[in-house]
Amino acid sequence: MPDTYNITLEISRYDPESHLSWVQTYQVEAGGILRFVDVFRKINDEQDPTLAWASSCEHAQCGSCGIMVNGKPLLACELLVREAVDQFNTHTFRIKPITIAPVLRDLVVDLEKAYDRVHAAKPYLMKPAPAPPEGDEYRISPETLETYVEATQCINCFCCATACISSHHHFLGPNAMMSNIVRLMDPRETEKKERMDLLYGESGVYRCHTARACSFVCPKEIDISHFLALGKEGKF
Amino acid sequence: MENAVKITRTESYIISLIQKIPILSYYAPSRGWSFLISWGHRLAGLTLVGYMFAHIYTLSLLFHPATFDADMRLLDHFVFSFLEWCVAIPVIFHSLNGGRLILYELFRVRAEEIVIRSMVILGLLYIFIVGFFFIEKTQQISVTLFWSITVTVSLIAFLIVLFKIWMTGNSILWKLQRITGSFMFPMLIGHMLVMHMNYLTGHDSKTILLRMESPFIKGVDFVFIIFLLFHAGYGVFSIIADYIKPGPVLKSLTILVIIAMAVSAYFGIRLIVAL
Ligand code: HEM
Ligand code: SF4
Ligand code: SF4
Ligand code: FES
Repeated sequence: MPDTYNITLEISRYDPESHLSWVQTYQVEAGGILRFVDVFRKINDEQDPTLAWASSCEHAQCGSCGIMVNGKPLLACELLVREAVDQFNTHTFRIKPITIAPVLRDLVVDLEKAYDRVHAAKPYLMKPAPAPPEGDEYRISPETLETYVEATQCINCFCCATACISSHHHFLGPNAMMSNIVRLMDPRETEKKERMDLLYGESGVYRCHTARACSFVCPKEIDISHFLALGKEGKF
Repeated sequence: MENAVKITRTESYIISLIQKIPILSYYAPSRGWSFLISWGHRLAGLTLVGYMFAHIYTLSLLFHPATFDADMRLLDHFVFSFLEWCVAIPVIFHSLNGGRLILYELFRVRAEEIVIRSMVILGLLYIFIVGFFFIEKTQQISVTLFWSITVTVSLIAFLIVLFKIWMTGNSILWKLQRITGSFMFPMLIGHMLVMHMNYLTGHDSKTILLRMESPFIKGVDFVFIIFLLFHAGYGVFSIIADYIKPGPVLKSLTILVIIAMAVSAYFGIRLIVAL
């Protein structure tokens, strides 16, 4: 296996000043263990300082580096060049911004707008149950926690929402809906009524068609469609 | 496919061949097979809605048996027969996949590899059997016995799904979509089989009119057409509602869908009552 790859990146560019969009091709000689964020940085250093992209933690924890590579939404800080060549069976990669929010520049999208959906789902305990008198903690049994802990690992990267068959329209989206369902499963949440209204509202779980693209792309390997189906099964 | 662990070598070879088709080669690795199947479900559903309108129209010709028989003879041409046979594809695909969705969403059946594998095998078998009937056209069966069994199975499916979801907080229309789907599952699969077992059952006005004299058959057809039109109407509405925000446009389109289904119901029921 060669350790350097000659790869071609066809990157969607957008300049907000001139409102021009175009596709720019970069030829990069990249080590197999470079991540896509490293490749972008290499392009900035060696070829084109104007290419804009986003990242923050660079270890799959903050969700700010989502992009689409050959149609698949994923984290640029996680995808190795070697893996990309294997996975997509090519050396040419078409790179686009995720499609869930307006593009600010090149690969950078307005995550604030995307987060509006998550905020609409109120991703916190609206009315927490009072802590039991014996101690200062609210205890959740391991069995109960086990049923939903996977969903709490979501980093809101919006890869699922980008892949989803219907979240480009007026479905709140898989991650936002899941964060509502998680709180319905959380024994500490007492505000069930508002959560149920959100779940079965016009932008709620009916817009999900169990296409399971969300679970397919989630970089945290959360089986999102499982949780959405629990919402439809309606056992809360 | 996600969790590809349970897929056999032969299956992954077949999948890799199918993935060479351009649109699949883009979406299968980037969104997964379930995503493609969902689009297939949608397109098959819409195809069936189109076919349903055409079907209700040709049946309404039964008011003039001579025209009906002439039309049926025309449709007996092998090109039309072939096209009609092709309808078995969306019928069985949408039915089996609808069943899969109901199992996944309401009965927590998550063994997707097994379910999809069974769907493929049963689907191919069904298409093959329907094709055999189209070529042979000589199979005999007691229509009353056939429908008695099929209606019983349909009622069981209907009741199981009804009891499972009736008490949940989902909207009534959404629940009815699943309930009508489960009732139609045996009915629709059976309908296509029995209508093509021999030429007369589905294409000869005398045979059809004689059958339609039975109150049992009338009752079965009545329930079926109501369920079918509701399911088709809500299905089309649900697709539109995915794309259009609640407001005047969605309202007008919804009214259009209701009118189309109501007009079809009128023609269908008039036929059942009059014959
Ligand atoms: C035979 C048994 C059938 C079953 C089990 C069944 C099941 C289902 C289910 C579960 C859905 C919901 C899918 C979703 O929301 O994602 C659905 C949608 C739909 N069905 Fe059926 N169906 C059947 C027959 C039919 C027939 C005969 C027609 C047309 C005349 C039809 C037309 C539709 C349409 C248009 C949709 C909407 C598709 C979408 O939302 O993407 N179905 N069906
Ligand atoms: S569920 Fe997964 S894909 Fe979706 S936002 Fe959360 S981490 Fe990202
Ligand atoms: S399962 Fe539902 S939420 Fe997930 S991609 Fe499909 S439609 Fe979207
Ligand atoms: S940079 Fe934080 S998830 Fe990729």
